[in-house]
Amino acid sequence: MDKLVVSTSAHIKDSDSIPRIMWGVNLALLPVLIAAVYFFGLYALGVVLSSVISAVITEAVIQKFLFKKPVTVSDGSAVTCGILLAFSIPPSVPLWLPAVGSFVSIAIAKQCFGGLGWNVFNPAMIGRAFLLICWPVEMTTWTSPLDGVTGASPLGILKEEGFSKVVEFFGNRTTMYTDLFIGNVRGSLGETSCLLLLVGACYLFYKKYISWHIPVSFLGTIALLSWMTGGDPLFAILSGGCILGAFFIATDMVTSPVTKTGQLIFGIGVGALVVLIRAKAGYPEGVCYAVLLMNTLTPLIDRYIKPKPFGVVKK
Amino acid sequence: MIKDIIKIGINLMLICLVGGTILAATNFITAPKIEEVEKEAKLQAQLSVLLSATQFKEIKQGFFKGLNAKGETVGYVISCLAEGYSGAFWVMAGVNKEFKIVRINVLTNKETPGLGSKIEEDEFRNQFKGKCVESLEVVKTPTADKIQAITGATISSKAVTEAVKKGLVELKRIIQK
Amino acid sequence: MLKIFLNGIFKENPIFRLALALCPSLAVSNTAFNGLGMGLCLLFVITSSNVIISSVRNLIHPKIRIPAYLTIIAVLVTMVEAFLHAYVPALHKSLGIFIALMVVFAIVLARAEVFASKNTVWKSLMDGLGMGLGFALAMVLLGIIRELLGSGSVFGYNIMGQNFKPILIMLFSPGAFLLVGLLMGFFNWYERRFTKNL
Repeated sequence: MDKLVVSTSAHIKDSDSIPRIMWGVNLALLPVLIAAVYFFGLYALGVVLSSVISAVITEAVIQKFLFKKPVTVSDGSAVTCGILLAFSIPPSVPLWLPAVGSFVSIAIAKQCFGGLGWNVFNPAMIGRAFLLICWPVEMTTWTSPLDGVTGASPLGILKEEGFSKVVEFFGNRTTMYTDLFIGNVRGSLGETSCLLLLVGACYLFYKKYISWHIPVSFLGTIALLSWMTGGDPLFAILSGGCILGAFFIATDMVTSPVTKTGQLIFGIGVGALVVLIRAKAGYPEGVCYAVLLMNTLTPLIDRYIKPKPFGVVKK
Repeated sequence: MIKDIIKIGINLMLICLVGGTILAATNFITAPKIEEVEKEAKLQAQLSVLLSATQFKEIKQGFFKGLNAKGETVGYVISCLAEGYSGAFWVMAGVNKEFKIVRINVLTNKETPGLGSKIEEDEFRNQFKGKCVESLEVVKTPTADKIQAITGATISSKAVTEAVKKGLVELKRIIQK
Repeated sequence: MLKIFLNGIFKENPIFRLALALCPSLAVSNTAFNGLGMGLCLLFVITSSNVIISSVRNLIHPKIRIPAYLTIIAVLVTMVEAFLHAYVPALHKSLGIFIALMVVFAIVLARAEVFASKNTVWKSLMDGLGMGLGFALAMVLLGIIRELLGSGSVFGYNIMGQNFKPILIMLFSPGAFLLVGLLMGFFNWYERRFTKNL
């Protein structure tokens, strides 16, 4: 069965660089982890560890015993997946929840499709979607930072009671923007602190691990569309999982298009879907489903926007 | 050519004729039984929300008067259509003569299993006991005189409450006219 | 004869091997009871349709065989629905539209076209029984796993205890889809291992 297969998804040309990039991403996520521990307490560290350990063990066991392939957990991709999953779930979940989510991420979304480079969907987001469908109550119980009181997230308040209540909740607009930016709000573990997410993102830009196309088109579309529909563009970008999604999740190399134009289309699509889900669907937040839906279009985008071969004359 | 078409036509017609005859026979056997089953199911549904009655008389479509053995009116049964999270479903409510709710029952529940489906459980349904039109309002905090929403299933909770409220208002209008 | 019968259960299991009749396997295998009910209904329909079609196969003009088969299947399904409605209303209610949908289940028409129209009555009977039983067993297997994981019980009896947090996705079609895929993979893997050892 060993054949040479040419696929659109195998983007990685230099295999030596996978571990470097993945560990680079993990390093970029470190400041956010510190913020999570600061805001939500040491329990947050437990959630992240549970997710990461489960991801690594699942990958190692499947590769060693089921497929009898060399174990490649040291490339850091399982760790990245575990961290991203833990960052996108509420901080107060029971510890078994992230472990189950990571198992689903790795076993079903990654290894079932053939492992790193072959997965159609972002594994961490599949894990999150699975958890949200299975345990909706646990997955939508938000505790506020520092004092740990449960209540609705800002986007939940927006959905149920309208924007004026959101502003009222924070006091005034300025505190709303600063709280959202620093991360002093109810939300998933790693999505609240925009400041530290941006610090990590700067590192990725500096190392050239991600390009500007997806984040800019993603966030730009959200800002533009929410401004056009009468919302507050800055609130739309700072709240929920937008920043985390734009820089760390949508930019996943395996599940996003190869070409720059393709990445722009991808980012615009995700942004539009996020606004649509937030406004019209049953859920207050839609980054996870928006990314997954656009993942399904990635092969199509890649097919229609091919890199131009050198020397081809336009007809 | 024409001969062929006629031949094929007769062939198919015969098959349909035999099939139709069998179905007619089936219907002849099962139709009375099905009617009985449906009637029984309806009566059971009505009884489940208004125990004190023994028979029911339709006042208007969806509204029934409950009579006891002596023929006195003991209350009313309303069947109301609720617009839930995953489509419409039927809710049946029993009401006493003072227009206070006795019991409600969710008949065709298609709401999300484990979340919205909890509208079927006693914990939610018992809240309706003794409530009048004014108290039929969904709130999120624990309450004695309003209806408390199920955690994570506000839409389903609201759907049931709104449907019952609408039915009750309509019932009052019909009776007091 | 026995080979034809067993063929439908293992080697060409409708759900896990032929990947036919996936619609009911996703929609009504949410509890073991529903799976069993659907399986038995289809067992009856496919066996009778195989027997009837194989016995009248020489009377049907080849040009209209598909409409003729569909008419026969539709009659059988309508009979099943009427009798279930009259005598087993609980099952009728929980299976709902999927009883009537049996008319268009690919597996029934497929066996009529592929097998019953070319074989003797006895062979077709065996094929129908095997296919129907294979489908029923697959449905019960799916039903047991989905009910166990999705609501913590099997055939309505609570097994997992009070502290179990049900895996809700198993009650929805996506969960069934995942499960069918994983079981299909498991059976393929098992067979490959089995034949390698021979």
